[in-house]
Amino acid sequence: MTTRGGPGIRVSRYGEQEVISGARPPHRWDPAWQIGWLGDAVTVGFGLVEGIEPTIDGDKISGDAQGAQPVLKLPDTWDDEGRLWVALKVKTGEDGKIAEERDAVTVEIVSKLRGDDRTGVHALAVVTKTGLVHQVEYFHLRYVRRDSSVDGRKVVQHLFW
Amino acid sequence: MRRQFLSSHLLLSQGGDEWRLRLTGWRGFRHPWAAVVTWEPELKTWCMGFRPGFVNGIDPLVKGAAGYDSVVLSGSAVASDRAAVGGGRREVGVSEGKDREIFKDGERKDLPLLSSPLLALNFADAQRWPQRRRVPAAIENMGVPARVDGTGGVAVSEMGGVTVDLSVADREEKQAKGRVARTLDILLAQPRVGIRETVDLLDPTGVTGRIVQYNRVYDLSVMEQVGARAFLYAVPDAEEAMKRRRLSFGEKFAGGVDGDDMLDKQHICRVWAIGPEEGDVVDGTWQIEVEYRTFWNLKYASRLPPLNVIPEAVNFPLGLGIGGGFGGLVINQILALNDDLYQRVLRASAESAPEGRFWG
Repeated sequence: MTTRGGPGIRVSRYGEQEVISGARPPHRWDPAWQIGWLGDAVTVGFGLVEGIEPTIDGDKISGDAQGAQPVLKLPDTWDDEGRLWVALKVKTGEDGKIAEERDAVTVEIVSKLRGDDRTGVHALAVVTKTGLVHQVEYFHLRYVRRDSSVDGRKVVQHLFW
Repeated sequence: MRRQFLSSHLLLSQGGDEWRLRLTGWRGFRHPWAAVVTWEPELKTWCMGFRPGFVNGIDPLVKGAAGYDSVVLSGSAVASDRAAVGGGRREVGVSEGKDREIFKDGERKDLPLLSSPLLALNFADAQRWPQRRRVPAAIENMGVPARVDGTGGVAVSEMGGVTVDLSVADREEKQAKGRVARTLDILLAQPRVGIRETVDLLDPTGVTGRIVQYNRVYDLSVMEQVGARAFLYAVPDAEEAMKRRRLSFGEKFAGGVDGDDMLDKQHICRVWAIGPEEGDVVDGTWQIEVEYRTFWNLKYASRLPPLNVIPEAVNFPLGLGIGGGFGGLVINQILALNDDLYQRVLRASAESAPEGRFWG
């Protein structure tokens, strides 16, 4: 069986291995967090939070040396308005700074944009049940956790900008 | 080779015996809040659909205000495609057989942007142009005069809120000729908590003199009414609607009435309806242009200022009738205490603004 590439697609053969490459024409603007839509899964392009690149299941979102990006599969549970978010999760330590562990900053699919005192959540894109994807965040991000207390109760705010 | 492999926007994956090749990658920037304005002949109004924008990752609601209708195109997956079709409108059939529902005033339904609601634009109370303020150059190029100097030869000056009539008997009318325009401003409002400061004069028994009591409570009335979710609505004048109406404690102590509406607002866009000279009622023949002020998805945060900066209600003793020779010394001491308390309250009041901010 031979594989033939159509326009914009190149097929190369190395012994037993076939490599197929294709590329869209370059966009005029190259922002962070470019969401690639696969119908039942998404990929997330390169982006930084406080200079740290997030991971999906331990793999960096922009992919490894060969360009293989990790893929996030969409679950079947939508929220009551038929939405899901591709969200950034930042784990912080006691001191309020991003934790020093390996997977402190990750990208996950969530149905509620709510973290807790230790985890900040920030939306990167919205996916609707009808198959629409809307990218929400286009820039690399700075992050800070602000702890304050209101009338004796602890209030934690996770701020992204 | 079982694992998924992505190279330059191609995803090759294997499931059992089958290989799947998919083209992926980013689809390009789509400017949030981009609007498509179309004329609805049945309602005889212009209706505005938005490409979704987000506040903290959540799409705001589209609310009809009093007198405005909210039109819904049921069957989502319409707004984005419709905007991409470059202004044309596409009817979408849904399972129940009706492709849209129209909610008149009274049955107002607030819908999130992701379900593609339309905001009906009522130009009856819109701002009229030309006027004293300058129109943007792009609108001027379409035939609307840049500005006019007052009406009917009367020059009016507003200084510090006071209107002064400077009419001169032999001044000529300077009405410029050209097309007329009407504008409506689309605002995004985010409800928040307010702070209600009260100042009461008390006359407790057993104590000579009176006490001024200062108290602060959180005011959740607006949030209870409209919910916590941001919403889009139309107003005739954004500047007027976005004026800060929350008074400082000093202003309130002096008798001012606080008009804080507990909504933080962001100006999304201005819709221009440009019509013929002498045009009066905006209809389907008018030209619509949208002037954007916000191009990005927004983040928002507000401060919830602590109420216990001053431990309990603060009581200032007032007007203790001190007689005899001690008068001067004690009164001075009391006044100093008063002043100190008053300053503390002023400072706490000024530092505890509950207004939040939007950033992109």
